[in-house]
Amino acid sequence: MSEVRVTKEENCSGCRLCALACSFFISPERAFSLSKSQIRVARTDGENRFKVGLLEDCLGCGICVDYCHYGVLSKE
Amino acid sequence: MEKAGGFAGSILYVDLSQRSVTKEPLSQELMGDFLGGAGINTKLAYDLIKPADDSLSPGNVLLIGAGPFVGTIIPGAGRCSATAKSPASGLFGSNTTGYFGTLKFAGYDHLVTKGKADRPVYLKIRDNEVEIRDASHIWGKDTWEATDAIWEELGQEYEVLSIGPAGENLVRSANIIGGKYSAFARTGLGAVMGSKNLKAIAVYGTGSIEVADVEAFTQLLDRLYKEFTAQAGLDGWRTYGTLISLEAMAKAGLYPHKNFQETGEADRCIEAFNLDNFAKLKVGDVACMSCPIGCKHFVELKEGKYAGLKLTVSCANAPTQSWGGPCAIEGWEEIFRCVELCNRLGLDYYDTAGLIAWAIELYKRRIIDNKDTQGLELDWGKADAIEELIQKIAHKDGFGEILAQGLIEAPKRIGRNSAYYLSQVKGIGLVFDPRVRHSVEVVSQSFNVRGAHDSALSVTMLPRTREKMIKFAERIGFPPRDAWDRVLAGPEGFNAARLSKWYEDNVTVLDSLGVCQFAPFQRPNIALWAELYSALTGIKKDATELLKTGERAWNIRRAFNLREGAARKDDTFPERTMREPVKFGDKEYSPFTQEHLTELIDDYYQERGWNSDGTISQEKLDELGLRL
Ligand code: SF4
Ligand code: SF4
Repeated sequence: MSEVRVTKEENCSGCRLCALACSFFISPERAFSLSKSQIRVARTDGENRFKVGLLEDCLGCGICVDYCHYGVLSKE
Repeated sequence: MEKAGGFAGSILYVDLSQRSVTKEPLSQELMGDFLGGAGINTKLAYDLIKPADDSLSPGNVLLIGAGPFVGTIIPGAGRCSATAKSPASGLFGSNTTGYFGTLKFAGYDHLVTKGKADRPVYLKIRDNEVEIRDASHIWGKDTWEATDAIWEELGQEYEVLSIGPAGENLVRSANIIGGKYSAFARTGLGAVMGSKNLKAIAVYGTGSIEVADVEAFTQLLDRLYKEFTAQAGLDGWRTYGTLISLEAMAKAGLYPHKNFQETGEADRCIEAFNLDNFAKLKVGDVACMSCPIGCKHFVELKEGKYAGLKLTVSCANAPTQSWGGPCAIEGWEEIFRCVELCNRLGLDYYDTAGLIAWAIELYKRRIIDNKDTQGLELDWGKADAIEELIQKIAHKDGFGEILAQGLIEAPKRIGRNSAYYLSQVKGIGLVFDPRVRHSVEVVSQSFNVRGAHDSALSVTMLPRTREKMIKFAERIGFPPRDAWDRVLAGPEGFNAARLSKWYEDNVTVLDSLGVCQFAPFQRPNIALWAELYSALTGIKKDATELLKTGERAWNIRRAFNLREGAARKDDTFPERTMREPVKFGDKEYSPFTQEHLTELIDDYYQERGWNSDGTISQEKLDELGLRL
């Protein structure tokens, strides 16, 4: 099974496209939600700098990789 | 019909005087007639704000709205809109910013705040849990400190809008700052929050935004992304953001210099705001929610006077157009210091820089002296004095107290014919010099009903040909073919006054949907936005109907202003620009003549279907289905 990796976290712009795409394409509700996605983008140090992490139930489908336009994520 | 897709479905009403919070369903009528975001804000503002209510009174209402696209992955769909009676103009005031979209996930499309708290408070919104919390510990703090304190209390997942000392002190050019950088910048909305004793608003939501027709929506999204990402120049947009056109704008003479006394020399602008130096200071890209471009910048100064300064710069062209041009500051270090001060203190760059540039000119002309300024020696580009004055304005300290009264009152306070030198229209600082280029952006500054300059971003800032204009109209889907003879006429293929109408309507549509209005988002055909709207919400609209909703909102703004006493005579340009020529290198541009202005306003009113006195004709009201 393929796996999504956070390869260049420092590139993250905080756009949340990854998380919103995940919730829409993968969740059974087919709805947009930050909290129902398998990828989390969290602000760090009170700045517009971000940590990105995959949750355990990530399917490895790579939809977030397709929607990240900043080269943060990759699929292996 | 069940709940429309795209919308959270509710309006949150907060009455700070009563300390009450109510949630009401968003009506089908509002969604259909006004789309969302800026459009619905407009209608609510017209209904809720009374002419008798001063902008700084508890009766003024602050509306924050996120359109139906916000929260989806439609590119650039992270823009929220804020509206109130403007403390800067006393008229309709409105602004957008790419932050605060999580309001939708908390379950609300709009947040409507009225009344006045009896002591400093902030709002905490987490889904259905809405709390009016004590803010005495953060009152007096700047926006960065206040935001940090709230993040500390609630967690960094919250989106925080905050005012700084300027908003607290009811400075007329005060803004609202989101996440320490993203501003509802213009028209003085920060002072509205201040007048309500509302220091900040924090929101987080765990809800979802549904889609009416998933299959159609997904297909349209695919089409849009393909078209969108195939555009040339997106990398440049990311690296330089709004500075992308710095060189072209500089060469076209679009940077007013030294309080509009002259136009910035192209070479000087290009060197003073050197793009390579800018790129060296930039550490990362920052994006509004759902934006694949990311035109904002995380910047770090590693050496020099401000070593250690880290900040996010939103529109990087704005500080060059304000601190760099009118105040003549050079180099990124001092520009970023001004950005830092304004973001922390909660001040709009344009109006604040406009006031300071004006004060510098008055000082140089000896209309005021250092007794007026209380010892402050003012001069062009003299960053330390300018930065001191920024702080004095925010704190209403000494001479700053006079400038804090805004662009209408400050010249009355100073007197001595000082008003002649101030570049403002209806209390809002001018951004572009009307003598230099008669583009849509430039001429619309005179009759704009929304406050602020970016109501009609178009492609006419740089020289065009009729052929290009027609090609572009075909691409984007407006103005319609039967309007080309009058709208796409003239030496460059456009009549700026008439074309303004179409761009204003379009920008209002984008502001209502919640999409960014920058160039890459103006290129998709309006019909595609209409199809996306229909698939997402389940409310069917075609391109013509979509533009009509923009027009409807624009007309309500006009009606709002007319109700406040605005009239044709207010649609004008600053006296100086109509009397004196302006130099740009070895060129000289003549004053904007009264005849030209009359012609322009006539054309514009006609295109809008307004009467020649600027009131809205009954036919237009009927056509738009408005009963005001
Ligand atoms: S990982 Fe990529 S898509 Fe996700 S927030 Fe960061 S930049 Fe955006
Ligand atoms: S282009 Fe810039 S302003 Fe527009 S949505 Fe993207 S990041 Fe925001």
